[in-house]
Amino acid sequence: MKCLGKILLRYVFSAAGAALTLILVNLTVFLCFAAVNLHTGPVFDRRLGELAASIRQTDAGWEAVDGSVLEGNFCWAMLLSDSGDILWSEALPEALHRHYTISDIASCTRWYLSDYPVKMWKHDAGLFVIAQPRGSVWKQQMQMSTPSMELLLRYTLPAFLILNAAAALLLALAFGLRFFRQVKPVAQGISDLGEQKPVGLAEKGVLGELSASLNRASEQLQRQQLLLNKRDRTRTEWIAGVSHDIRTPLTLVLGEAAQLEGDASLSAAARKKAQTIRAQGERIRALVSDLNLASKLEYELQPLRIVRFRPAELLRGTAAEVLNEGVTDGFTLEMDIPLDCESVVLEGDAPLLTRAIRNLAGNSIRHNPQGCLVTLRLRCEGTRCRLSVEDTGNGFPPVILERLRQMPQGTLSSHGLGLVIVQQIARAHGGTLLLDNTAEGAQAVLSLPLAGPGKKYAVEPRRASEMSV
Amino acid sequence: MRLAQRRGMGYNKGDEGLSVQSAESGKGRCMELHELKLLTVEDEPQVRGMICDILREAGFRATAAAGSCAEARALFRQECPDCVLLDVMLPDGDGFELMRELRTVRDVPTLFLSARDADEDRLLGLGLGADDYIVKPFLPAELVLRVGAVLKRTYHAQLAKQEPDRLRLGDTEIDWESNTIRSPRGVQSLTAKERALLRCLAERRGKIVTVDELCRAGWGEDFFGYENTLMVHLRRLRAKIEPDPSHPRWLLTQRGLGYRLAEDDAL
Repeated sequence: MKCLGKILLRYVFSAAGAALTLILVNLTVFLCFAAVNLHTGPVFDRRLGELAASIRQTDAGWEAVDGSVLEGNFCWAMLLSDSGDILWSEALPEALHRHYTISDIASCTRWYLSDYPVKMWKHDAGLFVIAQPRGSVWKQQMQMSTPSMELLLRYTLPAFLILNAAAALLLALAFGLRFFRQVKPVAQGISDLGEQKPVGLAEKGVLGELSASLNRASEQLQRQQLLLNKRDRTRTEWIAGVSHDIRTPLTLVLGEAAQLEGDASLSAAARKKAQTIRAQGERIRALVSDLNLASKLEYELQPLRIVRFRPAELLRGTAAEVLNEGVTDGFTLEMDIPLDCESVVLEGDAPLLTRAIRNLAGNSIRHNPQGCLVTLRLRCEGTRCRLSVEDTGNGFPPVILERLRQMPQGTLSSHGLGLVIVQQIARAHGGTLLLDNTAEGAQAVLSLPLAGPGKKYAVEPRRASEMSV
Repeated sequence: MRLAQRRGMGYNKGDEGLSVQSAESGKGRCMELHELKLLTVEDEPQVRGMICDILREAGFRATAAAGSCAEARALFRQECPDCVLLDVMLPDGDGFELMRELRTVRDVPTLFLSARDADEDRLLGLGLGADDYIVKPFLPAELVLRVGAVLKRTYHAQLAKQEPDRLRLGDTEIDWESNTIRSPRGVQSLTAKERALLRCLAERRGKIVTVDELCRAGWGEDFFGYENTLMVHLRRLRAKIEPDPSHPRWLLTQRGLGYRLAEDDAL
């Protein structure tokens, strides 16, 4: 909306500027025209004096020195004596050969003489009169009181300009505001479109067509979004449904196999086979639950239950869980938690993060049947908290490492589903999962932001250990 | 033959003579855990049969089974079970709804059997008051353990004390009721903190209990910062229960993690 205000301001100023420019141009043109027209006046008048002076008295009476005074569009001329008699004339129409009274002269000075527009010049002998053809000159007298003229020049003209400018500005503003009001919903619509909100604009007025296009674009987007959401949800629901369907028969497989395994009346070999069935059944159970979680995390349908927790405690709890479930000989689990990391508190879904660490530790154990040392490490530096699982085993096969690293978001690879889940859990918490091979073996680092969105970082004051007796 | 028997609906009478007593008539006198009556509501006949089978094999003598809400209602009134195992998805209704309905009749412990992750969310999120829930597929041992735990918790007072509430560590015996430690070295008493810590370890004997869990057991939710105090208490505890406290045989340290109370046959 801010940019819209700027557009309006620019529009108002440019409109007012255009109006003012027009006024100034018009004024200039008018003044120039007037100046050019008026220019002929004084020159002509000066010429009139010369023409009058060229009529002189000779022995043969009055005559023009140059022979004729009629130049330009003058059609006749005469010289009147002070008593009103014609002393000299040139091409004077017959009707005008007469005696002129003072009132005749007064009348024709201001207006016409027998419709001939005439000009006069004072002559030593009387009055020099020269005429232009009938109908060639329009005469109008103009008079104004001196104060009025002063007022006009001093105030009215500047006021005229200022008022015009103000009016232009106001008009531009009014039109601009009207335009602004029309454009505003359209601008809001475009902004909503970007935020994937539904847009419903009135399809009227100048911008009706634009609004209609926007509405259509919005509808299209909404429909696509709905389809996408529906597809994601359907896929997750489908996976959940399939998991449910698998779980019921698996309950029977697991239950019956476990019962057979514990049936003392069976041979050791048969019980061993039952144990294999049970163990594989448990693997299927883990896979089904992994697949379910992975699909929910992928489409962000797994709600995170954010709680405050200490990563040190979470890491220890996970390690104890892994050990309590029993690990085969040859595996050693070590903890590396510096004292200053003990007090760090994170916010996140603790069971999910436990799951992530368990998956990583489980990977180290499963992929190193010969046994190895697994270290759970906690480091808190700067803005990140790193929970890592390192082992002294075979390391990740390079192919797997490459594939897991390059895996784009939105792929559900069935291979290494355990690691995919860890990656998803890391992402859901605004963190990352880094997988690498060290000199000793594999290293997986779950890096979580300490002060990221939805996460706060606080250090609980360390209580002075009290000694109770 | 066994399968046919398992598939049968209704009351599974493992032992006719002992299944007569209901929870009501049993009140006020000492009962045995396996005398308690269980009702399993599960629509899948094979799973239902298997559950009953597992429970009977575990020693429960009275296990009724229903395949739908209607059957469950009828059996609930007829047999007055002491505990109900409920499937969440039933052909004629929802397990959660059924539990609410049954509880208005009589408040009995309820365990849910669920095959959906979403149910777990509902159970956790809504706090429906279920005593426990078991996600399918489950192992028989898991089922028996969970059911037994719920029954023990609920009918603690009525259940006959099968064995005195004691902890045995070789030649040392801890009596929880009197808070005393009897050993060839003499009789000592337990402080409240020592009792809480030892109890926490004994409840999960053989398993590692992290320092965090021990601190929580000793000092409650706001336990952070008590690690050193915990060590002092455990040192004193060792002096009382260990024949040779500098080489502990029972209370073992799990470096970096916590402690473990060794099982009797561990050494």
